[in-house]
Amino acid sequence: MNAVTATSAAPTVAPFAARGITKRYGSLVALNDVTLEIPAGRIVGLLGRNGAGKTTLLNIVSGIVLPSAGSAATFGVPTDRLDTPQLTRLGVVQQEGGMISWMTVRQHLDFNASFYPSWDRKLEQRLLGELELDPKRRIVQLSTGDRQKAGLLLGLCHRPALLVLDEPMSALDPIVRARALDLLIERLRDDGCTVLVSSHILNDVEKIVDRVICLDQGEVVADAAFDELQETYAEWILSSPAGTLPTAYPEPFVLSHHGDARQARLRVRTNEFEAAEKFASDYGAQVQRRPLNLEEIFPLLANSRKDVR
Amino acid sequence: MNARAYSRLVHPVIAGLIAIAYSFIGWIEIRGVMHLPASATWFLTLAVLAPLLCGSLLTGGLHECMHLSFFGVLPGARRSLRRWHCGVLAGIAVVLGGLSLWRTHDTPVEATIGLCAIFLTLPLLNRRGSQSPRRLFSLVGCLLLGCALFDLVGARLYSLAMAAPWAIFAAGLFIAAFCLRVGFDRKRVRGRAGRPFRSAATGISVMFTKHGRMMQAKTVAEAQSRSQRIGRDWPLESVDGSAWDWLRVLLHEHFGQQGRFVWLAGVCVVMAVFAAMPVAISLLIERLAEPGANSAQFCEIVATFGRTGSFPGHSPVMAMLALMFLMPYWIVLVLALTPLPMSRIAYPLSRRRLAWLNFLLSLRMLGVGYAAQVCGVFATVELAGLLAGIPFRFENMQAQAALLLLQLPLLPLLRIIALTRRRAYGIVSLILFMLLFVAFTLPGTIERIVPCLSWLTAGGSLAVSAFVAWIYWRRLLRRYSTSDLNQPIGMIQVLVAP
Repeated sequence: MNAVTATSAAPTVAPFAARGITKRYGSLVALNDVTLEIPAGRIVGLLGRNGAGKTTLLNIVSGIVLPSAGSAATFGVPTDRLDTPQLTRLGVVQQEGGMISWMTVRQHLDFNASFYPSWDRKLEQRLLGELELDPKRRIVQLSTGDRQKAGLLLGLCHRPALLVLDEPMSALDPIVRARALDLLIERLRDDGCTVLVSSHILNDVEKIVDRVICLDQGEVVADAAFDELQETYAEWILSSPAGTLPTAYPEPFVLSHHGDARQARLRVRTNEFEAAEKFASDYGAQVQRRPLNLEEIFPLLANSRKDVR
Repeated sequence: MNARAYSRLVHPVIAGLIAIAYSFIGWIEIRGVMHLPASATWFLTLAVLAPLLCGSLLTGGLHECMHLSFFGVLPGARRSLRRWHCGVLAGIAVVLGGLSLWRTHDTPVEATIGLCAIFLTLPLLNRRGSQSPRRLFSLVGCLLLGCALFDLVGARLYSLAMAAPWAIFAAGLFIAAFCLRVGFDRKRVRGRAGRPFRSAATGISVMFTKHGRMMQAKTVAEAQSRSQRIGRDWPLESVDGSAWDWLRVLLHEHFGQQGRFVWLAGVCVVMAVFAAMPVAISLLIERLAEPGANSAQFCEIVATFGRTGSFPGHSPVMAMLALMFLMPYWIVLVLALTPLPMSRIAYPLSRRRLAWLNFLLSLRMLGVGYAAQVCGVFATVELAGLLAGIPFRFENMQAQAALLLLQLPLLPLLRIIALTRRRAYGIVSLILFMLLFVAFTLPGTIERIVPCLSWLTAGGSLAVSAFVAWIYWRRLLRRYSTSDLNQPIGMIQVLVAP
């Protein structure tokens, strides 16, 4: 866990808070009664399967999309009333588009810079170099990866207090991805920026987040510190030389298992250390406990909605 | 390929309805303008106009499919399309021949079928090579020239059909066979692949719908990706809170690639050309009809018509001159119904200010279009008056002013239609336009309309316009305050009651 804590004083108002928000597109319910709060100065990972409602939630944060029911506030202001003071503190990197395709990268940077008094030209120059982006190329000619780099630049250079990233790195190569992750950590360290990032590359997310929100079918199934999740979910490796292990485990905290009568691997949801010892003695087996990474925890969160609740 | 697949491509219901509607308009025009006997009117409608419309609309559907890159790899698609198309066209020719027989007892049916065969298959030769705006100009030019030519040779064509029906029948079959052979030629079909084209029937089937706007947006994006042009640099170091600065931001986003005044200049040129084109064609008709006609007399006719709406007698010249008022209106109508593209940039602006900026942008777009239209028509009429030696008199401009002012309140109204994207309203406005066209070109209509409009003074028209614009602003504000902004403004739905 590489949790990073903000160095600046935490603001009193949460960068984003939602209470019971529901979003419907016709008959499709994209978000259903979601209540959450994004703490200031943290990097929060927003996880979920395709169609879980991540992009909708991020669009609600930036005020582009309005909830059908419930209330949402960014920097303490209802998202339908966000105005220049709030929006200049917000950085948005959209999954697709969000850029004017006929402009060159340089023209787009100059264009966006004029709206933000806090635009940092030095940072812009450094990022252009670090992300290896040619400012003379037109947006329409950029590859998907380069377009994502341009999106990151446009979202970062005005030093936002809240940075909303929707799949910002899916098309970047591993080297640039690592640099981009470092940049996010740097923003947090230097500016105390709050980052809300949605990504399917969980190995990357794991390196930077200190809080995880998991959505499934439009509902929040987990909202916890990453440390807490790692303590809660684990893999137990059971060994029984006598071959006495059962084929099924009725304990409610056992989420999945596979193996045979001599050895089995169980994914469990319990943070009680005594439980493992009791379990071992009950089944006459030895237990080894292994912490799970985010990629292993995610299916447990996404597939066991009722258990988690 | 089966009947269902073929009919999916050609949109038979839409194509049929359009062909019937326009054939009906054509029938009225031929009867009212060309003063031909009833049998000749029916003959020209059923043997020339209706098959040309049917052929163009049906062939457009086929071409749309042929222009897709995957068409070349569909096994046997070209041959089965040809088979189906031949069958359908033959059926249409027989139906039109039967109708001709029913309506005109003295016109030989073989001549009707021969001409039907020509005009049904002629559109197959259209290569549809370009999607550029130039195509619109050439299309309108061809249409007007076609009308003029039709005026000139229509009566002679009828006489020829009466004199040599079997010769026309044989020539028709020969030309149709040639068109079918060339139209479905393997090499030519392959040459179409990769150049996107959309048929009129498809365009109409998705008109004023969300799907249609998505297609429109996609076409714009494709055109942009093909363009090599690098737009202007953004001149402002910082944007302050003023609406003017932000208006510049939105204009730069939408028109920055073309240059600052290119769009404005483009609208002005289009309006001037559209106002002058009917005058030029009516001059051509006049010259062809009366080789020794005096230019000054013609200019006098244009100036008199433009200033008072009155015209001695009624002729194709009159119909063309009436178009002078309607042609630019069509462009303004398209402008009014074009939804403003919603920005995909997350600007640091409140929803209310975004709404206000888009309102100003709408007014600018319509204002420029309208002003260019007014100037185009006024300039044409006054130039003709100058050449004819008629002194300028302000009170003589009643007809012009009344007709042009009448359109003013319609413009914000059309913006409301574009905003609420009620498909029915859009279609009704197009039908109204067609009816206006018919009314304007029939004898005595303008003379009757102008006195009716005399109550509508400039002040009254402006007041009505301002009121409708205010309603438009309220609607726009409501939309921006309560909608998701990640889609073009024409597509967004009101989600929450204000």
